[in-house]
Amino acid sequence: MMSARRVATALADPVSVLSLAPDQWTELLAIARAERLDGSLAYRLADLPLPAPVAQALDEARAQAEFGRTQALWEVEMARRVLAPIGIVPILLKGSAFAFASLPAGVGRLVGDLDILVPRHRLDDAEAALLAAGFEWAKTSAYDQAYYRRWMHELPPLVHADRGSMIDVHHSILPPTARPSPNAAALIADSVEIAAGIRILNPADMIVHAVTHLLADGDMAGGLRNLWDIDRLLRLFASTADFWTMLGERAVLHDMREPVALALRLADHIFATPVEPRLAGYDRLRDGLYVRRLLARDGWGRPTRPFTRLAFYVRSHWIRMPPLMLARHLWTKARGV
Amino acid sequence: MTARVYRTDFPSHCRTHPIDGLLLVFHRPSGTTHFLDEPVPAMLAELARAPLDAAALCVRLCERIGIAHDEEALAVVEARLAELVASGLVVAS
Amino acid sequence: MHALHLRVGPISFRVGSAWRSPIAALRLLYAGYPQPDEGIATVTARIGPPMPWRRWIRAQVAIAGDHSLPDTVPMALRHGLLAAEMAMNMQVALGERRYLLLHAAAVERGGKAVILPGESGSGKSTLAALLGESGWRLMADEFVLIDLVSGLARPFPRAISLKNSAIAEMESRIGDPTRFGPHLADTPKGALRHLRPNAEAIARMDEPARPALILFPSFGFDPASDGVSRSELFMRLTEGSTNYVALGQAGFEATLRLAETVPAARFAYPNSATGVAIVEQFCAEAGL
Repeated sequence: MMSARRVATALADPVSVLSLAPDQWTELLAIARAERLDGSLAYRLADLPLPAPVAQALDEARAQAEFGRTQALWEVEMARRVLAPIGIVPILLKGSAFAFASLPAGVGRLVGDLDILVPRHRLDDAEAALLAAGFEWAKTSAYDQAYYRRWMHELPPLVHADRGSMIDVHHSILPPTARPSPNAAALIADSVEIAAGIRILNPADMIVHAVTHLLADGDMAGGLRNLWDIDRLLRLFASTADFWTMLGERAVLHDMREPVALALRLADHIFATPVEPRLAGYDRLRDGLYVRRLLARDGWGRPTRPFTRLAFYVRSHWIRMPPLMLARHLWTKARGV
Repeated sequence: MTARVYRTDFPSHCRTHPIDGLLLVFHRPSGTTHFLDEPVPAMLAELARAPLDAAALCVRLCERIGIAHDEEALAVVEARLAELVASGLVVAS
Repeated sequence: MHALHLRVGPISFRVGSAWRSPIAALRLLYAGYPQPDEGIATVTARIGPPMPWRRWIRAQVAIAGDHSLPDTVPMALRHGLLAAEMAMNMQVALGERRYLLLHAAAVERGGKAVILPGESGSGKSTLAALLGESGWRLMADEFVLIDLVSGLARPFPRAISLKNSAIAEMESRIGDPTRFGPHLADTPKGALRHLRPNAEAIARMDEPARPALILFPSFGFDPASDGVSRSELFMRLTEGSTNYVALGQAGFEATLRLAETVPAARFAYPNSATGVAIVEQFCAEAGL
């Protein structure tokens, strides 16, 4: 069952919802919430004549998105206050970047943790400053601490003792052990200053990062939202001259040519995003597997296709860590270290 | 080492309301609600006039209230300043 | 999936269950409640097995829906009705953004609402149930909804949760056995039985009322009472609200308006009869 297709259709073609039956509305709302796309949906449908109960439910989604946006921007400001005095200008990633830069991808989007990118040689300084400012380690086992520092591209997650908010400090966008090896130095060198003390990735790099998040970094749980981010970003950036050329070059630079091509094809399939055909390449048989995974929800918002989910989970760990290391990591985790 | 200077734009971006001798504050950028008791509102009023370091703030504050500015008073001011910085109402540089 | 659609005040639910019996019990408990407006339920709550094999083998019931919390403990199938109610509560507590939520009971008389905030064990549900059978209209026993613009309380008359000794008390008070749900023994909250609000409460579930008095009850002590200052009232109202923070400034303004305009007091009481009498006395003094 690929019921999340209805959410994708509603987002891509808002007028299509006008023919929905009452039960279909109930299901659409449940699936949108499960995919954390209810806020985005609310903004997309805002100008349509909707049944009163639906309009009210979408008002609530917008209110929640507004609250989330306020929280996200505040966390950015507090991080800036902590890092500016020691000369670190964080590069915002993902939802916080979209919200701060008022990008279309940020409209209605619920933001989770604050993700920032800093140069690897400043990591210790950033860590010290954040700990002094009231952040604590979220995962405290010695194994988890060692695992993150040795194998991952980010510090272990930090949670603020009073605010309860989380911050993930990255030094790259994929683990050093991963197969694709993005060029962290280039990400930082070619970032854009968006305000005093705050930077974001340049447009092409922002797409490449969104693609790592969609395909290479996780088991695609919540992937539809990532793909929607990519659709929104592509539509905005494509109006810039030379954008597609830049995207092609950056994808090659970050060793992400194939994943970016796949993401473009998926966005085209699911959201009818206009994409540059030479970058997207020909459809592959495996594309259908990804489409099914991205849309795998039933009318109650429950994820379907458990076997496909497991396959993706194992695959994503394989991308992050070569097989021998993976076996050791899983063995240690299973022993409960 | 130069002392840290504290600044605030209070009450900008805030909705304030006096209640039972306390000051209720809704701080819009953070979405946080604060109940402030003296000397904190007085401290904010002083910092709003001009950025100060802890020692200078203590002197001004004690003059305002009419008490001697001693080590104990300074310790209280520094403790409250730390809370204000953590809450986001005051910025330290 | 077995499903039930119903409307309670301004909230329309679609409740789903992997098992038939909890939905059947829920349908009986909410007999007479309206269907969702325009047939569209906008809040989904559901109960199901935490693992697929737990559906029939030593069946376990996990609560879920649009919103869920990671650490909820699964329940036994014989408590499925309670689980369904908890799933519905969870959606409201975590998802409501149109109204300020107060964790409280409320009753209405003459267009004025008396609000009784309190956690489980404060006795608010039992007091509200008793008042609801003695000349007052029950508006809510768990969540009071405050309109962010008008400040009025909107009714949300769900089934009342009666616990332990309150069960027998209400059974003797109410002649109609069909208003009660099944007797549930050994729940995490002790013995529990649900009571459907009376026909008047259901018929008038869309009539708001102006909050006129806020009384904080404490059960199990000698009678005593005390005023509650405006600043304390503000603090206690925010503590008892699951969505105060998420509502931003609108939540602040609505809470402040209540704290500034509605008289408040706390009282302790040893038994229900005394509790009801104290509430009536406060109301008389307040001119309600």
